Amino acid sequence: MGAGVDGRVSRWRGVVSPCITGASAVLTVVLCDLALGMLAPPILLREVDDALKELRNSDPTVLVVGSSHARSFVPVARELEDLSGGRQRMIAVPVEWGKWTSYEWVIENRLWPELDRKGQGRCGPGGPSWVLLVTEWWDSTALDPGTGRIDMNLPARSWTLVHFLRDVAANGLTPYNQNFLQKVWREWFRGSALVQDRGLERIPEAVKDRLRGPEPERKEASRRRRLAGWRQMVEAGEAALFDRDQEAAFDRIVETVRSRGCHLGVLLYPRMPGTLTDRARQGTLQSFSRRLQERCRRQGIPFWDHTTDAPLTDEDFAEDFDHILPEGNRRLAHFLLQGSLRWFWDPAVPGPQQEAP
Amino acid sequence: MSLAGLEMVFFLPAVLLLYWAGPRHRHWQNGVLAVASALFYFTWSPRLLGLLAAAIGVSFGAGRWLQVLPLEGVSQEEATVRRRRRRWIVTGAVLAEVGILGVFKYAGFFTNSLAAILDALGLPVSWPVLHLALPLGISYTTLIQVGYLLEVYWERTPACRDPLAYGVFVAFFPQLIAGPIARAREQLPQYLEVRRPTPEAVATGSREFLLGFTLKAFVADWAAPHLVDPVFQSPLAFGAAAAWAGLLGYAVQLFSDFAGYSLMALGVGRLFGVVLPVNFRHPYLSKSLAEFWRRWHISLNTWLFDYLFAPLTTGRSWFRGKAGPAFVVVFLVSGLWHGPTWTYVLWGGLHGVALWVHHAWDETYKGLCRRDRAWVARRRSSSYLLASWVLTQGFFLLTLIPFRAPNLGVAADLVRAMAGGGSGGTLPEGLGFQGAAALAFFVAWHVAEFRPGAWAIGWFERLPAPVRGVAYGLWVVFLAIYVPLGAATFIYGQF
Repeated sequence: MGAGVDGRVSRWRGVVSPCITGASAVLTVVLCDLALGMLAPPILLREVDDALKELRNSDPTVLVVGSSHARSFVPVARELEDLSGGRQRMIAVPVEWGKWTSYEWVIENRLWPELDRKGQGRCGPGGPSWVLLVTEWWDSTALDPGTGRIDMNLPARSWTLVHFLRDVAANGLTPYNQNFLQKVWREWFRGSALVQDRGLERIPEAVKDRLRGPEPERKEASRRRRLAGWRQMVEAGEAALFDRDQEAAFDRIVETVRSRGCHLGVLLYPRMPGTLTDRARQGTLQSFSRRLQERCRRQGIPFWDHTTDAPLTDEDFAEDFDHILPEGNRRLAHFLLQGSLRWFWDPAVPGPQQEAP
Repeated sequence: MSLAGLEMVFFLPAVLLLYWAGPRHRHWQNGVLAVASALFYFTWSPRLLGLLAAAIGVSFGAGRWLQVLPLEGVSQEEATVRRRRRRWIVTGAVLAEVGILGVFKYAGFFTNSLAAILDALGLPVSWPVLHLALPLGISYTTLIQVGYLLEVYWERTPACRDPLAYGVFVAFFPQLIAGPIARAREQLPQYLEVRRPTPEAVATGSREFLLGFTLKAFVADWAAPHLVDPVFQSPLAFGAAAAWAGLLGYAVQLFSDFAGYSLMALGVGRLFGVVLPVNFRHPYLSKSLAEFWRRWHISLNTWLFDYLFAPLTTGRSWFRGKAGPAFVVVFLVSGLWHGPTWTYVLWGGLHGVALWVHHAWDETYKGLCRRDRAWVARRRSSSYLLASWVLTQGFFLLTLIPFRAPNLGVAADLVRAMAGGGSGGTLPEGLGFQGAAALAFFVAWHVAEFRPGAWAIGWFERLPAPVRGVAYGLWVVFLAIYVPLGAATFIYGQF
C-alpha cells in the first residue's frame, strides 16, 4: 500500500514538476517582454491590412500607394482632412519593401476587390478619384537585384490566407511567401516587444545602452559605416534602374487606375540629405527622376519630384536613413499641402493638367 | 518548411493537438503523422510528393512480397526457387529506389563527367544537360527504404503489414530533411503501437528542441555569414589568420547546423512519443578517425557499415577480410552520397584512405601491445591522447576544405591563403557579443561531456522546478533577441 502511494506521489511529481518548469518559463518570457517593452516600446507599423480596414469604414477620395514610405502620408491625410473641412479624405497604403510590381499586386488584388465590395467599382463621386503613387528609384529596380533574395520584396505582407495557400500550393513554402507568416505572427503578438523588435534590433541596443552607457563613439562609428554602405548603394543604383518587369508593372498600374476612371499622380519621396553624394544626385537620382518624369509626361500623369527639395534635415530621418520621423512627417505634410498638393483642398489653386482618365 | 522556421510555430502545435486530442489509436496517430509529413513534404516539393509516395509503395510492396516467400518450412527445391525469386525481388526494389536517387541526384553528374572524359579523349559529345529538382530528403528516404528491404530480405525483421505505419516510418516529417536515418528494427515497432504522452518525454523533447535550435539557429547561423561565407567566397582576398578562422568557423557551423537540426528532430519526435536514433555524440572530442565516424552522423555511418562495409568484408568478393580497401569504397560512397561533385568524392576518398591508414596503425599497435604491455600504458598517456586528438581533428578540419569549397580551384585557393599566400585581408567584423556567445555555447556544449560539465548539468537538474523554468525562460528571451533573421536553412538538407 505504501509503495502504491509512493508510486502515485512520484507520478504526480513527474507531472507537476515539468508543468511548473514550463509555467515558470512562460511567465519569465512574459515578464521579460514587458520589461524590454519599457526599454524599447514595440513599434506597430501600419500595413496594407490596416489601410484596408480604414477603407472598409470610410470613403476616401485619395489613395496613396507606396512602400513603407507611404506611412509618412498618415499625417498628410490628417492635415488634408482638416484643411479641406472633411471634403478630402486620404488613405495611405504602405506596402513594406514595395516595388512597382508589388504596388500593382496590391491595387489589383486588395484595393480594387475591396472597392468592388463597397460598390465603388468606378472612381468618382462616393469613391476615390485619385491614386497617388509615392515612389523612389529603388522601386524601379529588379525584385532580385543580383542578391538572389526575392524575400526582400514583401507584397506577401499584404496577402490574405487564401493568397498564401495558393502560393504555397504552386511553389511550396518559400522565403517570399513566408513573409505572410511573419505578418500573422506579428499581428498575433502586437503588444510584444520581443516579436515586434525582430529585425529592428532596438532591444539589444537599448540593453547595451543600459549596461554600458550610451557609447556615443561606438554609435557614431557604426552610423558612419552604415552611411558609407547606404551611399554606395544609392550610387550603384543607376545601373539597375527601370528593370523591365518593374517598368511593365508601372504601365499596368497606369492602365488599371485609368480603367477604373481614377486619376493617377506620381510623387517622389524625399531622401535624407546626408545620404546623397554628388555622384548619387547626378547619377541615380537625376537619371531616375528624368526618365520617370518623361514617362509621366508622355502618359499625361502629374509628377512631383520632392527627392531633395523638402524642408527636411538629417535629423528628421530615422536611424535607418530611409524613413522620416514623426516631426519630419508633420513638416512634410505641411510642405506638400501648402505646395504641390495644395490643389487637393484649395479650390483657388488649379489641379494638375493630365489626360482624361 | 523547416523545424527551425517560423512556420513551425503554426504547424507543430496544430499537429500535436490533432495527434494527442484525437482517439488514442495507432491508425489515428499514424494518419495524423502521415498527413502532416505529406504537408511538410508538399511545402518543399509540391510536384514530387507523388514520387515519394510511389517510392514508398514500391518498397512496401516488395517487403510484403518477400514476406510471403519465407525460406523456412518448405522443401529444399522450393527454397532454392524462392531464394532466387527473393533475390530478384530485392534487387529489383533496391534498384528502383536507388534508380530514383540516381536519376534525380546523379544523372547530371555522371553524364557531365562522361562527356568530359570523352572530350578529353578527343571524342566530343553534346547531349542535353539534365537539370532536375532534387526531391526533398531523397538521400535519406532512399537509405531508409533500402535498409528496410535488406533487413526483410535477410529475415532480420518482418515486413510491415500496415502501409500507414510504413509510410510514417519512411517519411516522418522531423527526420525527412536531414535524418536521422531510421532503422526498421528500432523505428517500425514504435509506429505499430499506440503512443502515449509522458511528462518526461515532453520535458526531454522540449529541452532537446531548445538545445538543437540554439545550435542551429544561433551558433551555425551566426558562424556562416560572419566567418565562413566571406572566406570561401574569395579565399585569396584574406590573410592566413582569416582563412584559418573561416575554416574553423565552418567546422563550428557544420556541426552546429547538422547536430542542432538532428537534435531538434529528436525533440519533435519525442513530443509525438517517437524515439528517433541519436545522430551525434560530441564527434569533436574523438581521438581517432574510427571513433569520429562512430560519433558523427551516426545513423548514416552505421547504415553504411551494416549494409555496405559488412557485406563487402564478409561476402565472397575480393574485399573479403580486407577492411582497408572496404573503408575506401564505403567513404567514396559516403562522399558521393553527400553530393554529386568531385570535391565530395575527394573528401570521401581522403577519409577512406585515412581510415585504412588508421586501421593499419591500430593493428600494428595492437601487435606491439601483445609483445610489451608498456605500449598499452603509452596509449593511455595524456600526450598520446592529445596527439591523437590533434591529429584526428586536424585531419577532419583539413578535409572540410574540399567538402565546403564549391570546386577544387577554390579549395586550392583556400589552402594557399591558409599558407599566407592570400592578399592579407581580415574578416570584416570582430566576434562581437553574438559571436562570443555563439562560440561560448559551442565550447560549453563540448565541455558538458567532461566531469565539470556533467556536474553542472546535474546541479541544474536538482534546482527547484520554478528556478529551472526561469532559466529556460531567459534562454528563450535571449534567442528571441539574438537569433539572426532568416535562420532556417540548413546545410544537410541539400544532401
